[in-house]
Amino acid sequence: MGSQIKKYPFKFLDSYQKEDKSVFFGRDEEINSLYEMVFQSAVVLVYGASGTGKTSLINCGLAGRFQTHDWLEIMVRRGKDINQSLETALANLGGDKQSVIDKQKWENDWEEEFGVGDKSLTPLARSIKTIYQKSFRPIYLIFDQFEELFVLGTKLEQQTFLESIKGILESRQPVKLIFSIREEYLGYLTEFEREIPQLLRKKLRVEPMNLEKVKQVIIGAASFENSIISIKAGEEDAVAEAIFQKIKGDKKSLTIALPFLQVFLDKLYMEISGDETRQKPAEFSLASVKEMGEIGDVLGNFLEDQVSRIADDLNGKYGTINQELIWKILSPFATLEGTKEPIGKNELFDRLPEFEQQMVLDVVQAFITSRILRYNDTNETYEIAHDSLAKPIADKRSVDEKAVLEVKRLIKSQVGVKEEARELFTEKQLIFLEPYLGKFKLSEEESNWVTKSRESLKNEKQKEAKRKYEELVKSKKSMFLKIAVFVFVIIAGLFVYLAIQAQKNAILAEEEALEAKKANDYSSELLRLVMEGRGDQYANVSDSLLKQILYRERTAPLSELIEVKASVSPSNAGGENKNYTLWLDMPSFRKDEIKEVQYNFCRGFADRLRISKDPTSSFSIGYLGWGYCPIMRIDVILQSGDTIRKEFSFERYFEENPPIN
Amino acid sequence: MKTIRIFIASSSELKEDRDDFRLFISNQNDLLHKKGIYLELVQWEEFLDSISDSRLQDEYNQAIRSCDIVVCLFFTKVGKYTEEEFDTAYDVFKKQGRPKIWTYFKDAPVNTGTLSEEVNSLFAFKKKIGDLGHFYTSYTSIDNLVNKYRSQLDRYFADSETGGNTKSDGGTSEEKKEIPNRFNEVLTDQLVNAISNHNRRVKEFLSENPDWKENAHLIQTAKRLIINGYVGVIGVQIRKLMSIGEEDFSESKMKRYLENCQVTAKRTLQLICYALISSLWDHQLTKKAKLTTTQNEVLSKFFRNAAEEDILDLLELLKVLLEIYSENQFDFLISESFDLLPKIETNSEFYLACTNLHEVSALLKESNYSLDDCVKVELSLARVLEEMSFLAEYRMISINEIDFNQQRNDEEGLYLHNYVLLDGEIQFNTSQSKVRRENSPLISHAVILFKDNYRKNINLGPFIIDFNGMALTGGSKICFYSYCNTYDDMNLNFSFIEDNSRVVIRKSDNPKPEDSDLNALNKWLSMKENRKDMNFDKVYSLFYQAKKTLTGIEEESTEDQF
Repeated sequence: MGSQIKKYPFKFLDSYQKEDKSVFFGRDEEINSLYEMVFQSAVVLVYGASGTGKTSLINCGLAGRFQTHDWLEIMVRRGKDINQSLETALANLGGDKQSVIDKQKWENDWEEEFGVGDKSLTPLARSIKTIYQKSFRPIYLIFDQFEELFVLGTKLEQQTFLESIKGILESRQPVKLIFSIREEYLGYLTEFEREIPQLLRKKLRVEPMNLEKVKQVIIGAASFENSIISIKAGEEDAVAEAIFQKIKGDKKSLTIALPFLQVFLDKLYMEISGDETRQKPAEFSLASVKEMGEIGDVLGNFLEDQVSRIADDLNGKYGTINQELIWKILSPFATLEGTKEPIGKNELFDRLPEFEQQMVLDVVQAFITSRILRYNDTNETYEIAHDSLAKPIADKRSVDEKAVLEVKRLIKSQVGVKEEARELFTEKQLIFLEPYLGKFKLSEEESNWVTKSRESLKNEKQKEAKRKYEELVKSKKSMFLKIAVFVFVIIAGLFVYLAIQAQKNAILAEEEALEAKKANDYSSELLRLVMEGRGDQYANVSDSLLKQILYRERTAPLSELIEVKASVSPSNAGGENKNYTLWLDMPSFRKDEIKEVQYNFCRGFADRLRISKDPTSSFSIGYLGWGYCPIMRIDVILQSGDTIRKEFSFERYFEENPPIN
Repeated sequence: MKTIRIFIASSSELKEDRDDFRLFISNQNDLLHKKGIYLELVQWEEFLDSISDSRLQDEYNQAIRSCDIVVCLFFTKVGKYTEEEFDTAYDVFKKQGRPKIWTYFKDAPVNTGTLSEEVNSLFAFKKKIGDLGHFYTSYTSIDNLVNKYRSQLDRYFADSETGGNTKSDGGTSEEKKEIPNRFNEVLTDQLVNAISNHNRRVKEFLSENPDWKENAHLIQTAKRLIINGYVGVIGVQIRKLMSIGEEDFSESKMKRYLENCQVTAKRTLQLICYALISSLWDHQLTKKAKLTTTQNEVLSKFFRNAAEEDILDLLELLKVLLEIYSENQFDFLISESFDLLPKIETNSEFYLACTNLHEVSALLKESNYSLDDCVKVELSLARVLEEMSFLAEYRMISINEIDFNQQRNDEEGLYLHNYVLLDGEIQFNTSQSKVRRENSPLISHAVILFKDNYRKNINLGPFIIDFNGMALTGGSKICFYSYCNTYDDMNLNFSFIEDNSRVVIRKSDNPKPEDSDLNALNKWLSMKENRKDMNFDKVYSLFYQAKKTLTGIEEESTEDQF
């Protein structure tokens, strides 16, 4: 018995498993509560902040309380689709739902006696039954990182899953469900709770590690029989406390997150032993902890180190590789919010079209070796070892990368809804989407939906433009003429842009293509017509130039785009009085960014501050009179709270537009 | 240096994968040697060439028996040799719990032109190993295979570190004794027949499937019928035995099997004894029976014991109880148990079976047991349960709260009895507690046993309790009375049937207000915590009341002492 292998007690970023029972410390209280709960309900919920050790608590703590014959765990992570993953997980255990192996009527015979109808089992419940009858071990279906279903999953996926769970619960097979979720996502469970009321009845919050528990972890890890770690005699408490303080830094919190602790402990071990194989014994002492210096952001630094090391290592093979590229390769593994996202090999390639595939694979392999990424066996995905590493990765993204992610999510969430209930992309959304569409792969369904939305918008715009045009023709009041023309220009301009895009992107059926061409011709004609009214500079502009102009209008800061315009026309009543109108010239689709416009008049005017909040009139104001301010100060207050200050000179205006008498 | 021998079997179409895999293994060796592990590949080709057809099977047996892991790769067909290799490995595995067999099916596009009839061999084989209860994995590419393999290998190392079943370099490769996995064969056969006389469904099952023993699925069905057919709490134990029986052979398997056989017998005896004691208490309250000194001593011993009664103690108790009943001509709901009386004689088969089960404690204590012991103990248990097979006609439920519902103009109210059915899979029926509509109430917070008439039941409290029912937490946690701290704090110790953990019931220091002070009482009762204390205090006082009624011994601390 003495030949037991010495054990390295830390797990770095991995969770503890049932086999690690002997080195899992500081969690007795929670384990007991969870164990009791399992006998109180068929569904148990475990929640807590990221890095509090929920997964280990279940996989190691709870599982360790059961004997082999009383516990069959089936871990289900969402992967690409939780329903598929669940099915695969069951199939892997031989739960082949196709083969109905028994005659149903031999089941639990009390049920009939007690008046519970013999419900036919759902396919999943049947799988579970098959698995159970292979081993007679009660099944624990564990849905780890359940928040992924809400962060990454579609409504349809959620709904299907909910139905599956209901089917399983009604099947009365020996199965219990354990859900583990980050606490900030608890709110998402409301809908589930409505259908499965017991979901939130038995729940355990996993508290972050306080000093007392951290002490148990460190001292426990050093004192069990075959540990290669020891603590200098007499310094046990002090060492543990020093480590806690180091990780906590100057933060006010009374707790620390476990990944930080694990990474720190591993680092400390390496400092002392220098043994990559983690076999040499090491003695922790107060002095060795103090020598570690200020550690700051343990995880961030660790990640930076690894990226730089991998860049160096692979430099021989790929001359072009650098840290920036490596961060880009890591990027798809984190969501926008900085949580982890499991991703398959092919999807990874799709997300990184500009990279050489072998290089991507080599980088991924290097991260697996350094235990930052891990391979997920059941659904063939790679993922970051721990959520806490996703944040630093997300923080490294450029503005453009973030935008692409947002666009992807927007499309995915919209198309994820069943077609009957799905909404078309709005004008605003389309404008947001268009520039990024070439940068990643859309599914056929997604790309069809974008096309459909464009079409619908185009039709609507066409109608609207026509209506405006007719109104314009009818209108006699010249004072509004220019404003109306302006509005028209913008609408038509957008419409042209969309038409051009549509033409470029879509592989339309012939008929559709013809439609688009017609629309395009029509809009070009309108455009030219109104552009002439807008000024000579637009008279003979090519389509591609128009496109450039519109691109600028979409992306440039508002301060560059806004121009103050004015019109002065003789009063209908005659005499010296004139109609003065002031408004903002800017792309209409960006008007929503403006909250209000303050026009500051000079001395001599009764109301020196006049405000327009009306985007439909381009924030225009007008007055009738004979006087004007030589210089007007105009403050454009944005929704964001910023102010753009503009000036308008009537003096210059009259120089350029001498009044006609 | 530890050596792990790996045998790879695959059809010729997967030669490339095999070669890549081999490369992976040698790469792994570069890493693993630091950990003191060496993976040795038993080569497929050289092996085939070197042996003649006639000796094939022997050679395979020999080679495979010496391996720790057999990896089988399949794609569009299952070659003759590959299947033989699998079969051999599987036979060896069944006998000695080794080698581990890891089966991978390649899931990749194929040119349908290249497919031949042989593809049927694949389907047949998949079905076959599925029927054997063997788990397999699919892989899409060599990367995928290697990744899956790596994680399985990691798990294997983790297991072998704790279990230590890899070979050491220095030792001679001692052949393990061949052990056929025939766990539960006898038990299943005897029990399914025994309970068929008491359970209509089992009877139908047997008459419709006389050949059930030939069909792996029907065997499993029979097992499940027993689990759910035997009266509740015993089913829980049988489930454990069935589950242990399915495991791969290991020391731990034998140990747990023996332990659980003993516990199963003990729980069965406890159940009958507790039912008898509980009913006797009822009888004593109306018609006082005369007890002989011996009878009184045995009962006093039971109530006083500061350690749990063992199987032979229980047998003695059972005998005395049955004698009391017959001498006083008391009736007992489980009337079949009177037939047991003549069988409890020393040297009867039943008695010897109990003795065997009793002696398991000694075997376990000395860690001195073998497969033969498992066989013997299984037989003994089958004997004991067979004699008690009439229990299959009874069922147990745990009554929780009883709700009363009568609304305006209703002639009578409804009593809604909330209960949990206690069968072999109790733990999993707890999520949906059931409701039964009745015209009268019933004693709540009780575990009851009955045959066909729900009203004619034996209340098993305070000897069998539903801890969770009383703690008002939801779910069931059935606990059997174990022993009493008679010479200490008088606390009662119960044993939770799922894991045999100890549950202590002590008198709370939260006394219920007097009935006369209605306001205080109502206020007190409105708090769930107080009702919980009340429930457990009741268990405590009931036990001492029963003790007093049945043995005449009054404990000083049964009532509040001031």
